[in-house]
Amino acid sequence: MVWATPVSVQVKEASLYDQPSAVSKFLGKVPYGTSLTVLASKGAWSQVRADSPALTGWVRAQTYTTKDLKLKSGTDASAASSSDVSLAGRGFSEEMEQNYKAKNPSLDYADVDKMEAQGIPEAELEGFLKAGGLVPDGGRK
Amino acid sequence: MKFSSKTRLLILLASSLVAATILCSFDLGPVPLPKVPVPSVPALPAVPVPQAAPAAPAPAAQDSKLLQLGQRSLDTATKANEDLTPTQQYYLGRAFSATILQTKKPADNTKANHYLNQIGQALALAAEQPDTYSGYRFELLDTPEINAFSGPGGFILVTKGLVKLTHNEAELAAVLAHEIGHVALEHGVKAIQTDRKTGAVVSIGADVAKTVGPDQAKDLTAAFEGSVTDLTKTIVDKGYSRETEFEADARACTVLRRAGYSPKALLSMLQELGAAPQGTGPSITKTHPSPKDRITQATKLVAGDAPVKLTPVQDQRYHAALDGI
Repeated sequence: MVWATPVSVQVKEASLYDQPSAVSKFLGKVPYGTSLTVLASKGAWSQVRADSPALTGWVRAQTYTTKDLKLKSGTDASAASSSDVSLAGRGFSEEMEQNYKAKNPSLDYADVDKMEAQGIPEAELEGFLKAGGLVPDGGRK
Repeated sequence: MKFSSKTRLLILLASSLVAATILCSFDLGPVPLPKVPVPSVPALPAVPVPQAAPAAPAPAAQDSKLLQLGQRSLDTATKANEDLTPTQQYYLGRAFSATILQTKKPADNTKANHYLNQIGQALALAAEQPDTYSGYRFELLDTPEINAFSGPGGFILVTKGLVKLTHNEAELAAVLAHEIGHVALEHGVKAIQTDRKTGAVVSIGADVAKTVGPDQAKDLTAAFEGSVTDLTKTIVDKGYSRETEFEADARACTVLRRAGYSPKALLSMLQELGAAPQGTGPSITKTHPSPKDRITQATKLVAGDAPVKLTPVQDQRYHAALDGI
């Protein structure tokens, strides 16, 4: 679907590609809250233009939302602190997590951080799938 | 009945967290919960709840319903996502994982963890919801229990006991695909609807989110703490419904097909689970459908699929990563 108004990145980082496929050329990433203009759509993918950073490419449609992620003060979400941005999202924020950790020191957030750091680059995932005789991009081209 | 804005906010947070139910495909043993204050939520007017279980459908209707499970559209996840944003699910998933990891420590095995993440993150690309806020992550837990836990936002923890039940990469992929299915179908968010039936939810406008300011931070934190506690208790005690587990199995079959694995690996994995010695996990059927029931359903789901066929590369990397864990 092509949206007349800008949409906003709703994941930590959205990856842009030159084709509607995660195994096409990777163009770059745009962070949470970045405003995008949707130019075209194809299946689960949308062609978008970002002004800052200036990029045009294809992203998975689930990486953006039509909701306004800007804070009430008018501060652009991409420029606000992660705490403020999350606080605007019903209050589940890094600040709250810090309070929660302080009150519950037995919680193992250190290993959660290690777990979260185990992201596999998409190029490696593509290689993993191909080497195993599997289907790159989950057949979602 | 009217509530103050503060009370309504507490109710919203409490109900959202309770409903963002942690997802586990196998039985979850008791998990010590952090001792935190639980915010007092006033009693709410009861919402009518159907008391009588619906009559069992005829076999033909059951088959039809089962086939439909795998066809649930993206609309469902999208609608649910409007209730609990990717950011919210992310912080909830982190809190859940931190709770589990208090007592079930991660296996200190970089190679195995990397392999789990290669398979799991590759599978996630084939899911209806490949993009959680921070992506899917997988962790091997150092316990012989047969368990797996999937938190909102794609935080998935799998025990050594369960991984050791697998014989090959396809079966391991089936385990991870089932957990991804829970996340992709946002079963935690769907649980919000369950709690609505008990009158625990009062909906307030999404725009309230924009008006949350620093004055509410303290109350929000207390609500977060108590809600995470309530949430974990709910999961440990109740678990998902049979239909929800069947839905995750059905979605796993779809994900496996898209990625190039035979979904018959799910069937063989369930058979392994059914043959596992009693006592390897605490009351494995207490909160989940029996492996026998899931095998019956999975047999129908994969009837038209090709047998599992492993490539030499799959075989080599499976054993390289997991032998000796």
